[in-house]
Amino acid sequence: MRYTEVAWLVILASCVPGGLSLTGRKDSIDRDMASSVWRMISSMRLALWLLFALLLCMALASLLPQIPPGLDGPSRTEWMQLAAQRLGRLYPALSVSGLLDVFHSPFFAALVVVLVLNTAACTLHRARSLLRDLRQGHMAALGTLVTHLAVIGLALSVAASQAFSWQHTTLPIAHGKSHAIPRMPGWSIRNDGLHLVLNQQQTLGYTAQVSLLLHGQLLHQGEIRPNAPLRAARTGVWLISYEPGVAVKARDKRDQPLILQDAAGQSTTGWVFASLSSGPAVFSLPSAGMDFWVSAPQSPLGQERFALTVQRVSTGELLCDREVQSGLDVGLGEIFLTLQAAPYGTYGIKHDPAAAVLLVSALALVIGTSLTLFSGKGRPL
Amino acid sequence: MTSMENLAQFVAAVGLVGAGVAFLTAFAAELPIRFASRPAAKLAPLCLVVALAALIVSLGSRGIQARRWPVGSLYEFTLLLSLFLVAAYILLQRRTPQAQLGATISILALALVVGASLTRPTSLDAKTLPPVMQGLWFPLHTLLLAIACGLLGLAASAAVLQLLAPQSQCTAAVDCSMDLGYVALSLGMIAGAVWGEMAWGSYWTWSTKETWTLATWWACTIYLHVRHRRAWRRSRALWIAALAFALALTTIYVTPSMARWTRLIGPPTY
Repeated sequence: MRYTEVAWLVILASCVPGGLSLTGRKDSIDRDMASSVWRMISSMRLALWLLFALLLCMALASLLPQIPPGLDGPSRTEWMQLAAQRLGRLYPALSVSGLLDVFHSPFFAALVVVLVLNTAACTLHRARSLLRDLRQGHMAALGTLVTHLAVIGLALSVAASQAFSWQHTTLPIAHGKSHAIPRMPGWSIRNDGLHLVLNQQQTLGYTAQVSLLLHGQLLHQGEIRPNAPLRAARTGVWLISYEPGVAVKARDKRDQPLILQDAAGQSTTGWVFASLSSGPAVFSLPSAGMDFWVSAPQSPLGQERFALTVQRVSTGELLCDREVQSGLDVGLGEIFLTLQAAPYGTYGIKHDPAAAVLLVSALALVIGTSLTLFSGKGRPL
Repeated sequence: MTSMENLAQFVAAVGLVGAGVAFLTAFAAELPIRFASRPAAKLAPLCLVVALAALIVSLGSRGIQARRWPVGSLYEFTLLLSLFLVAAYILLQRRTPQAQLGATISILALALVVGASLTRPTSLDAKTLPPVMQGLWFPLHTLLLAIACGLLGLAASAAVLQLLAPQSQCTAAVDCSMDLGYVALSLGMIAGAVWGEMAWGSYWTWSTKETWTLATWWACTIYLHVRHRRAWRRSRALWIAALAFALALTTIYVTPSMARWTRLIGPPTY
């Protein structure tokens, strides 16, 4: 038997009246088993044990590195390697026992589930006395009932949220571009413009105009800020952050646009966008046999200037290596390049059908508690 | 830091020292303390009221200077906490103020004011909050948590006094401030969850600070459940009340270090 199971048995047995003799009493050995189990499940002692156990889990979780939520794939592997370096010989044991992801571990979920069952059983167990108090006009009884039902509502809405909600937190979108919304076929989000409010290299605020499109047709449009999402079609769109970006256009001496190729190999005529968040953006101009790199040499916030390096592909000859002003033409023989600051908005999208129930339950919990505590004829929770 | 803010903080510190000394003297001489009584007996509460007013002026002038609610930094939160600690004592103890409790609150509030002054930012660098902290919900969340922490501080002080001197009759103060503190804490957590949802789309992320706030809330929940239980001796419940405030202080002052220690990849950017 594993140590966790032994611990569980000790906890549960201690809650059975006359069970494990933590109270020193052994006078109820002959009681009906079902009754004992019911009393155990509906006992406050079990609730207290569970709360203390959860407190212990939480304390452990805050003292140990925890896998950030939403981390998967290579990022998760990288995080695990860092954790192994940091924790040394402790790492295998901590990893196997789930202590590096306490809040998503089976034992934490089990504790929460038992606590919710305990709350429900406690409410049922005391239903008769609560109803009697209610008939006598004791608002505190109503408060206790509301509080416990709210706890159950909270737990159920969290479970529903876990089961039915989805979220994508990092969708970088360039100005004027759109991005398909995962899990919503036909829907896409378009960045209609990101506006930064700057003061001496400090960002005072930023807003974005976004549009929600269904099969290319505009359905919703609005301005969003970091703490003011756009809610439409049972979905929320958040402006999470922004990153530096550049828009590049190439044309010849007759002012005809030239085909530009981005790092992904996609060819475009007209403005081509690239993010500068993870280093220089690379473009090629196949018709002229040139490759060029653009980076933001100063603070990426203002992006008034860029560093431009141009190289001839065939010979490796350096044609240009200088800073250029945003919006001004750069002449390279018979070719002209224009670089424009085009910060990317990083958007998050979330669909959570249980969010409203969650909030209502939390408010009901406070209202119920207040009724219990302040209605005069108070009774213990 | 403005000169008005500086001056008001100094006045608050002097007021708290005066209140502490007056309360201790009253306790030693067994003088009755009254908020509305003869001038000599009113000295301690008067000092406390002056300190409260000075703290309001200090935070108010900072807020006016920064053109925002003064709730955006640890320094400001510490001042708020001392403000609500004093305010809770004045409001909840206005009928039967207890000298020992008054002295304890004065000393605790003084420690907070001095601590805040020592760790204050050199300039008004928190003039502009990060965009994600702007709006209604973040200040509301912080304000409610400061109120809750002030009330929990009063409860813990009364609980410790009751444990040290069982004849001091502080249990009513513990109960009352724990009740109010619990509701304020719950509302503060809800406001924080709403702020998190508005800012990142998540009501709860199990960050270190959130985890310890929940631990504080659970400690309060345990207290409310056990305080009237015969099986629990009163002293055990009082220890829980003291624990709740210790957890609140840990949430405010220790969790940033914990978060730095346990974080393996870069911090979140606002």
